[in-house]
Amino acid sequence: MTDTLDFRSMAERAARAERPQFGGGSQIICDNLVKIYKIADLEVVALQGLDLLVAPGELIAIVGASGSGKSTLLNILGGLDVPSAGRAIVAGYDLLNMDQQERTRYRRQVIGFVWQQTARNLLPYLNARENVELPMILDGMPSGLRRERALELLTLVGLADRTDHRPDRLSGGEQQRVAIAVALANAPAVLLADEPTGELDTATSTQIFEVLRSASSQLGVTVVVVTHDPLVSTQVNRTIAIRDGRTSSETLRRIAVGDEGEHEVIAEEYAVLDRAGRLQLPRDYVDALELERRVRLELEADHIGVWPDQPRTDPESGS
Amino acid sequence: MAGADIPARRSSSAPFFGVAAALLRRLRGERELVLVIIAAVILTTIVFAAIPLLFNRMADDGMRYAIDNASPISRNLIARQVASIPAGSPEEVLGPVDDAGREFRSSLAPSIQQIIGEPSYIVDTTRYAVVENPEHPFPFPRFVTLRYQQDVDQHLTLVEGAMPQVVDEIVPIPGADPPTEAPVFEIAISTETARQIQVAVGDSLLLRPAADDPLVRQIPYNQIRPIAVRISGLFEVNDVDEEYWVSDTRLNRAVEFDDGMVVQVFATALFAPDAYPTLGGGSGISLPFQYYWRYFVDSAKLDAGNFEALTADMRRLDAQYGVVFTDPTKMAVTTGLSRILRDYSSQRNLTRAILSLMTVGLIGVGGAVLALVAGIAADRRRDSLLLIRGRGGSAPQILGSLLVEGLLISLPCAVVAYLLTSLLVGSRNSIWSFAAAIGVALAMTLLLLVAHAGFARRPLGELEQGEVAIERVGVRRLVIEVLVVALALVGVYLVRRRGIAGSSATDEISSMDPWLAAVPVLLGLAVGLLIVRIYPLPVRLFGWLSSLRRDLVPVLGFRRTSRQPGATSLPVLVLLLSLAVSSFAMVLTTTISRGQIAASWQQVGADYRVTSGETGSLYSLVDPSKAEGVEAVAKAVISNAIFSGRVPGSGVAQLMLVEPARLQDVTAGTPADSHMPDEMMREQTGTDIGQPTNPIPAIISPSAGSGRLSVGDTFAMTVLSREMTFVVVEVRNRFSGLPVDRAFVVAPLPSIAAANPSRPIRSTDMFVRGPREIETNLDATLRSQSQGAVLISRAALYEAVHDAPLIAGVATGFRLGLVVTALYAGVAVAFAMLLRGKARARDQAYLRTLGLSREQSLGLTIVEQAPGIIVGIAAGVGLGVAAAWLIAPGLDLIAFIGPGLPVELQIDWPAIILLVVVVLIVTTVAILLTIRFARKISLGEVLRLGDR
Repeated sequence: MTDTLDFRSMAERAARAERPQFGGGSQIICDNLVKIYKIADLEVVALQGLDLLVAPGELIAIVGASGSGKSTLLNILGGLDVPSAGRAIVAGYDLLNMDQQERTRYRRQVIGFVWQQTARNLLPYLNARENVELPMILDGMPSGLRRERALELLTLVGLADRTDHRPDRLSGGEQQRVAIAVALANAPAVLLADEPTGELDTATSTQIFEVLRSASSQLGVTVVVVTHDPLVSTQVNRTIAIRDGRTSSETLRRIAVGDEGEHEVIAEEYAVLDRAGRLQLPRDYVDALELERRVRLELEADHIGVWPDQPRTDPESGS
Repeated sequence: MAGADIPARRSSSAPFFGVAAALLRRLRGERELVLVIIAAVILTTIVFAAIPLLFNRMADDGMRYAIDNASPISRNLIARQVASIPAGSPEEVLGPVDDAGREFRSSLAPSIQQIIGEPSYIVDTTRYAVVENPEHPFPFPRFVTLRYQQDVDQHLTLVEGAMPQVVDEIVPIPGADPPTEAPVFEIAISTETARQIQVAVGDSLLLRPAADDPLVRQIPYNQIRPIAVRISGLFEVNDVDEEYWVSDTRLNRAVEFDDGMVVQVFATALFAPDAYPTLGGGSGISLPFQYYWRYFVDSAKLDAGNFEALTADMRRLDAQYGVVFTDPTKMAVTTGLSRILRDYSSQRNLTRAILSLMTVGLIGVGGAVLALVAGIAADRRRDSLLLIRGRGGSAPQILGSLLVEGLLISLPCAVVAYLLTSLLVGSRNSIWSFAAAIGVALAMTLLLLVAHAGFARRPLGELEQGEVAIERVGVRRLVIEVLVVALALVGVYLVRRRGIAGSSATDEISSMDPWLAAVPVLLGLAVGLLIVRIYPLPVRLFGWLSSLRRDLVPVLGFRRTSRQPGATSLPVLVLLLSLAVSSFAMVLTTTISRGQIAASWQQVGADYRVTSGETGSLYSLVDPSKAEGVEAVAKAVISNAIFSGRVPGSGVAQLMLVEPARLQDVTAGTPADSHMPDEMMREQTGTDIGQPTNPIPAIISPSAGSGRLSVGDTFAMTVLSREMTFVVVEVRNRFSGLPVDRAFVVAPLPSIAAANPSRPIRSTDMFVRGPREIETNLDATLRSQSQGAVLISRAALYEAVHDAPLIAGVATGFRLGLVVTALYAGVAVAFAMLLRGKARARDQAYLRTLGLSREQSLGLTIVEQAPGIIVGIAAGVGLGVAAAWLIAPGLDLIAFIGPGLPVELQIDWPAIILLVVVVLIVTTVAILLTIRFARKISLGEVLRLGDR
């Protein structure tokens, strides 16, 4: 650590600066979110202090290996599960402090869910229109309005000609599109999709994402897609990677116009700094410098340097 | 923003019926579930609705049977009064007597009026003593009562002379000072009476009112003049057993009374009804008459539904008109109807208590089947319920839709089943039958709600984790299970101690204790819970053993069964309960049925038994062998005898002296086979028979001689006023024809006779062998030989017990219950297989994609299902038999078997094996049908549902 800079004055400057409340203005706020499962005698810490901010109307993807905690996060955001600690605020609703009745209404009115397996999205004994109407019925919408809205949503997802078909007469892609319409039935603020394209081919997956994008752009719905499919990442502007129950990195995409007017997608990956100042270094960086246990930090004017605690010996030169 | 208020965007409560209607659409795709629910509700409703109707029919039949089998004098009402009712017009001289009877009838309670007919009257005069001619004294005193009985001419046949008429005659009274005359009245008597009092047609008798007759006791004797009667005709009674006579045979035969010094003969003679106006004053003063009005009870008008009202009214009648030291001039009523109703009530309550075991058993099994269906329904709907919860469906919405669904399906089915049952059973209606039908519908609905409650109310997070293999027992569940076991054990103890009906202050059976009746079901539940806990352990062992082999099917099947016991535990429980109740019923019906036969043989001792009744011994004229069809006869003398104290053995025993060889002929090959030892069969010779040097062989009971005698020991008893020595040749627990609860000694009659050559021995009993068809002829033969001999038919005795509706009803009830529970067992397995068919088909389809063949698939199904079925059946049968053994002592089965033998539990193993085979066949057919159904589904459809 260097003492060439005046930490005291830097700290004073930071204290004087007005920091906005964490997540202010975000649709989804996860602050140090923890979830511990107990299965028989085993305790599994699925989320270990996860931070996440999602702006209203954003379409993001959450990626991670199996067991990273992404499905747990989705269940919590969907009101299907209760976090063990931390803060989770969605569209202004505190998910830690809702009673059963509030949680039911939250699931009904604030959240739409799309699962990977179609059996979990659609009731097999209802046709497409009836499936879309079901959440509206649960919410008490009059039948005339229901029917109208159901047709609108099915048109939005491109299935206006399939309203009377039951799931067993729809293809996988069509079922997922109906599922999206169902999720949008009660005009939710947030739509959560858990591996929505997991069982679909590339072309169909692209179609599904088009639908999700339309929902986000046309209806202003915040869409969170959980996936481990790298192709999905290319469909969204922001991809958040979760590792070991925490957010580890974010990839932002933007379209840049080249010198010759061509459009180029530029993806920049960022490591996520949580509110405690913790950072997850990419695994390959850590391995490349053989970083283990502790590192040296040096504060520079515009960056912080990270060095191994012991100097590396160049195997070729010996220095 | 902790606990932010989430505004209800729509109405505060979502339209209930809209949600219910949406969720009810699931019934479209759940045809087999709906059909199973319908079948379960209909079957259960028919069973439960039929029970009260069948019991009503049995109760009505039992009541009529009790009345019909009582003696006429017991079952009918006889009102009587001493009075002087004026005569009516010449056309209807005794009209006022009839009117008085009708008037009394109309004063009776409506429930009594409903069951009795119009009165039939009898008018009796005072008892007259025959004034004998002192110069020609009669060997015995004769008395005559003059009687007129309404419609009597329809029940007699005149054989000589003419029926009595009014005559306008007077005759001088011989020897009267001053000379006096007596009016003459014509009378007719039976031929038997004429023989007894030694008169003939045309004879005249002078009669004076008997001084000791209550009707004349108050009147100074010197004011009473005699009357004269002349025998105008002789008649024969058409049928002395006819209801009309109400067991009063006095017109048929005079009563002979032997007071030890002289025999007195009391005759009854018919007088002409037109003589009524003058007969009362015929003796110079107005003598009252004894009037009887007989009200015949019509058993067809009885039904057990009015039992309480009738019993109460009869009690009031007894209190108001009971004949106990009452003034004879006041109306008094004699009837045994109250006692018959009381006995019937006791029997009915006992029957109801016993049948309540089966009823509660059926309720337990039926409830378990409904619970099974509800549980599987909830299991099938797990995914769709989670989806609805995920979409915001609340618990009230989900449970509300289930309530509507349950009622929509169950109520109409229950009502239809109830109507069908009422039509089929066709007995007196019962509100309980309708209540049972509605109860089944509500129970099915409630069970659906309970089964789905977990999915509707538990946190979604827990449910999303999927089915967790429960390795540990929750505390609450453990407490409930321990409670069930404890209740069952306590219940068994109480049933054995107090009996199924509990006890009351009067020690009469007043009502059934429902908790005690539920004990067998509690026991079944307790054992079932234990079995469900422990049976996965040996299955796990089999799984491990089979893993040592190369065959996939056994290890896969056993592992699945042991690791997912929840899938089979409820069917196992249902199977166990069903078989337990069936086996229990089978043991009891076998015990009752065989017990009735054995008890009748023990009581009678042979096909027929002739006893001496009140006369003490049979007259020498009694000879059953003279009746056609009799195959063998053995004489016996049965009396009490005392052990002499000088040799081992003391106390009193019942002594039977019998002809051994003939008794062997009579009883050979029957359940009463006497199996006489050789020592008894040998003819004893010598002059010292019955002395210590030549003791008489004897069979004794273990308790005879205070239990201190064994084979080879000698003892002495006083027989025919002589002390005789006997030697024990066999110790036997019982001897047919003798009561089992008393010590007995059986010795050869020829030996006793040989030891007492100068003393004739009159038998008290005779054992007769012969077929059932000879009964009437035998009875007639005996009656012609002696009025005192009483014939007892073993077959008739057995039928009286076996066919009595309230007793036969128990056996029938248990048999029906047995059939129903066996049916339930098969149905439960069929339901479970059918409802889990698709899920199983998916699982098996997945295995088929891995390479499982069709034959292996079949084997897998068998390995998965077999342990549960075998355990359920074996444990059920064992439990049923054990429960019968534990509970039978508290059931008072002797009331259904008949006296004569203690109750011994009987197990008909071939029948139980047949029951097991039938259940196995039904369950195997169910499994095979399901497999066949599964084979029809293509793998593609099953595994890729929703994808083309």
